[in-house]
Amino acid sequence: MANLYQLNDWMSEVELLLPESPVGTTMTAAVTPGSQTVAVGSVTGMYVGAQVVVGSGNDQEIVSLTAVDPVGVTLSAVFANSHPAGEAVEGATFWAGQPSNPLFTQQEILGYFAEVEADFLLKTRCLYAIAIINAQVGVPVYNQPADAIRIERIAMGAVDPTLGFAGQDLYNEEQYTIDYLSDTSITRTEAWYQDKLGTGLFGLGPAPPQVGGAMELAYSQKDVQSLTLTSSLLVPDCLGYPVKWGVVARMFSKDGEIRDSRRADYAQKRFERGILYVRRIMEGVLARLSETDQVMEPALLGKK
Amino acid sequence: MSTLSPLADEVQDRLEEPRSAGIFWSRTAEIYPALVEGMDEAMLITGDPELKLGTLFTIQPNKTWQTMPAGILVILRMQAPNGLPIKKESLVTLDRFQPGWQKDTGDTPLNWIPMGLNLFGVYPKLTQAINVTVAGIQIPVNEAPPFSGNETVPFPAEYNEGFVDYAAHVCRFKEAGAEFEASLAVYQRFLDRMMELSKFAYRRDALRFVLGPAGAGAQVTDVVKR
Repeated sequence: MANLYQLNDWMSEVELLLPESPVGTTMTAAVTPGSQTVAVGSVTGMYVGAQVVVGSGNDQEIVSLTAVDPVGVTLSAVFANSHPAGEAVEGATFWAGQPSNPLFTQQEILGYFAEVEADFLLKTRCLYAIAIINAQVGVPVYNQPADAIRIERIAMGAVDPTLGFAGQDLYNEEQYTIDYLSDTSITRTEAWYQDKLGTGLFGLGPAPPQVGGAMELAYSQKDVQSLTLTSSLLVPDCLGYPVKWGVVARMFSKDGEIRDSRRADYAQKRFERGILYVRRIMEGVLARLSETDQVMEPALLGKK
Repeated sequence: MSTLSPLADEVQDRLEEPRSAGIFWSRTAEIYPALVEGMDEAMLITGDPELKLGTLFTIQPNKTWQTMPAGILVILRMQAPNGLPIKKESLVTLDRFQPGWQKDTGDTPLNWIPMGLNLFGVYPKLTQAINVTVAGIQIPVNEAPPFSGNETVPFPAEYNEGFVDYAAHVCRFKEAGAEFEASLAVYQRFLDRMMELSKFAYRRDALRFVLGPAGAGAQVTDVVKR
């Protein structure tokens, strides 16, 4: 499911709630790569150091403004790409109070989005990823993928060059239960565990006894990318709005003149309501793995 | 079906704005996105709109886990090329009652397996690609902003007033104070309407959401009560 919104789209919606207009203009002259000054339709919302998105498609880029001339109506920046006249210059620059006493900075808002999306994904566990990891003979402990919130399932088997992974799921146990499986008479890995290991690790019990094995990990996923104005959120676009409200809640609970506890409370509730909706859908269509599946399963067996 | 533009006209009427590009609220940058947001929330509450993909979806061979079809948030039903249903099965059930199921291969999928909102699995793993028919909950507007106003509203007409309520309320957020407080009742009206409409969706497909109609409590919040 490819997302179409860029973070700048979400940030612009947030900036408009302040209320403050994001940068939205066009270049009135063409520009070539390098340090350039270019005429634009308006410089409202622009300041030295602000990042704006120029162009679209393959030539789209983020540039930091090195100078802004409100009289000549030009901006200066170092461009990596060529842009014809008429290309868009856009950006949620959060210009109020810049440069000396800003209400918010762009990096601050980007940080809020990263935090709130992480919170949303943690509470909904609505996105999953699959990773194939080679099992090593006699090695019981492995790193979980960097983008894993939680491992939900591990299957053990082998990867066929044509048919892909084939295997069987392992029991999820604790180490004291695994201990009895370490009997040398047991010739295959039967369980996995994550207790008493440290963060970000998982173990197999018994350790893989044979060469050529592979694990298929299914895990709930978090967003590990460094967010920029042109990034997309990991959550689908249609679930981006609760994240937006979570960001608004953080903004309106910040100390200073912007603080508004009533609107912050409202925005936080909108974020939490979004989490409830997604959990309900996940459980309603059996899309959640692990413990919830086991709870929901008896109600649906034989019905659908 | 309507498009965004006539609904935006109604929102501007509510906001005492002229039916134009907008004065205090930008039609393109604020009103259209607020309408789309209302549709997203309506979808999450009611499970509507349903979409049966007009084009067949290709299940890739030699892999259990597949990427969700574009434009669909969750799959509700899948049919094989011969018209027979491919039954939904939970991963837990397959693991428990059919150990080693990922080793099996075949020409036609017998089951599909929900896995989050971005993946689904098929059993058995296919030896060749096949095209299946998929029905699911549609992402209402699967397009990037800025919206033109010509985007189709994929819901029945009885939803439309709810979207106008929603957008009129969200737009007032930036006014703060008494204006925003007054609009909370409008948001509650949107929620009430969606709760009613979720009962229709529930009657059509009671097993879509096992928690029943509008399970996530449809009350504004305690902000309005204070």
